[in-house]
Amino acid sequence: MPLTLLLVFVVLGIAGIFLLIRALHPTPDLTFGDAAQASAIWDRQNPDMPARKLHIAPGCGHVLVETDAGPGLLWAFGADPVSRLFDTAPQLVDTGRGLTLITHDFTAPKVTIPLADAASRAAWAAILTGQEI
Amino acid sequence: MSTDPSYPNVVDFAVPGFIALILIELVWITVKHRGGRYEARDAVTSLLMGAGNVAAGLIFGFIAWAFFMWVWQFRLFDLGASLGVILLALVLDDLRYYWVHRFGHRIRWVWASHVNHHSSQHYNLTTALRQTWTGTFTLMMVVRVPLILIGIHPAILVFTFGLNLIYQFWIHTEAIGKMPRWFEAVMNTPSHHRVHHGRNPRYLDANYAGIFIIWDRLFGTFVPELEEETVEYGLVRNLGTFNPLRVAFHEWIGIFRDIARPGIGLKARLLYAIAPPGWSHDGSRDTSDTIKAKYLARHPEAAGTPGLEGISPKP
Repeated sequence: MPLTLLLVFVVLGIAGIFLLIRALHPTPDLTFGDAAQASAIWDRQNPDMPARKLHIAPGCGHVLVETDAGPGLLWAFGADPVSRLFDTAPQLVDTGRGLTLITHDFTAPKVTIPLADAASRAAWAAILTGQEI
Repeated sequence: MSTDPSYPNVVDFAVPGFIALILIELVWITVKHRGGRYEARDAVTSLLMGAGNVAAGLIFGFIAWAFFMWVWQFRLFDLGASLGVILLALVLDDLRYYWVHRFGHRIRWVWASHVNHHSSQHYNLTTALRQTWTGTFTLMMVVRVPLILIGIHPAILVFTFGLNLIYQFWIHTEAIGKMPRWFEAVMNTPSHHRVHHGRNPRYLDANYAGIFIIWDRLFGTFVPELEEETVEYGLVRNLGTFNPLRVAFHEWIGIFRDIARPGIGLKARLLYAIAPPGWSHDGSRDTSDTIKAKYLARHPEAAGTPGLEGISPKP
């Protein structure tokens, strides 16, 4: 079989499986319904640095976590959780509808948090940059 | 003058079967609401990693093949290509696979290639296809040298490894619970391999087998799947990206960044490449050993249970 034809089959096959999974949607996206659930997930992923205080963003897909070692973020990555404790404060971009975090982490380079309210964005930014009053 | 044996690339022939089984598993999970989880972007990443693995084989495969054929000229015997030799090759190459796989979890240079296979938080048949693009650069091809020197032709080893990979496809599923006891005792199974993909402290660095679980039982790395501890899949520090390029190269970049750190000695630079994943010059990171020790400090009641035997708690 010519390589170009094989490539077309591979691309169409992968696209077809993607569309089928999207249509069937067998696994719901993860949401953080309450602080206890989010705290349990954070603590399982970061047993050395348990959550002290949590702030759940509207939409329940992102949680700002305060720990004794500084701020961290727990977020829904499709159906699964991902967390990062920030050794270095992430770069923040205020998009007007939320905050985009540029993490300088090759394995999780960018996270966008929906925060429509300007006061919430300011509060999250203060905690994430360690400038909380 | 003998001619070199020739075998089909059995993995290529198996691809339609892989796709059919993925579709069956997906429909099964959707209909039954049990037996695993599927996420579209995660599955696509796995499939792209699989396609990239095939492409990498086409591009770099000649390096390993040339090396094997170079070694072949120094063989001590020529065992031929009978069915008995093929079966012997299947078993011995599975033993070779066990050790390469174990090195893949205990040597960061090799882990950099293998980590992508563990980078999904899902465990379904697409995860089986989440394969490395950089295997050639681990230089683990040298572990096949003894098999070639005793007279097993490289073509036979490549053929039996294809069978090994096909065998390992079906064990990447949550849809199958446990197989009959005799089968679980000898063969690698979905249950044994779920443990291998676990990020729970007790399940780290366990069950390296390809086809036969007997190697883990023999070399002390076997851990059974416990009913009371559900496997959590993925990495100790999970990825926040579905980008296949980041999945394929993130650990290599981590190694090179660590090696290039200012203010550390030559030994530390070397250890950042070859020590177990998680090693750091100042002890600021965790290896699987320290993760287990810290877990035991938090859960002393788990001391001596599977996967945590012989570990001393460390706060």
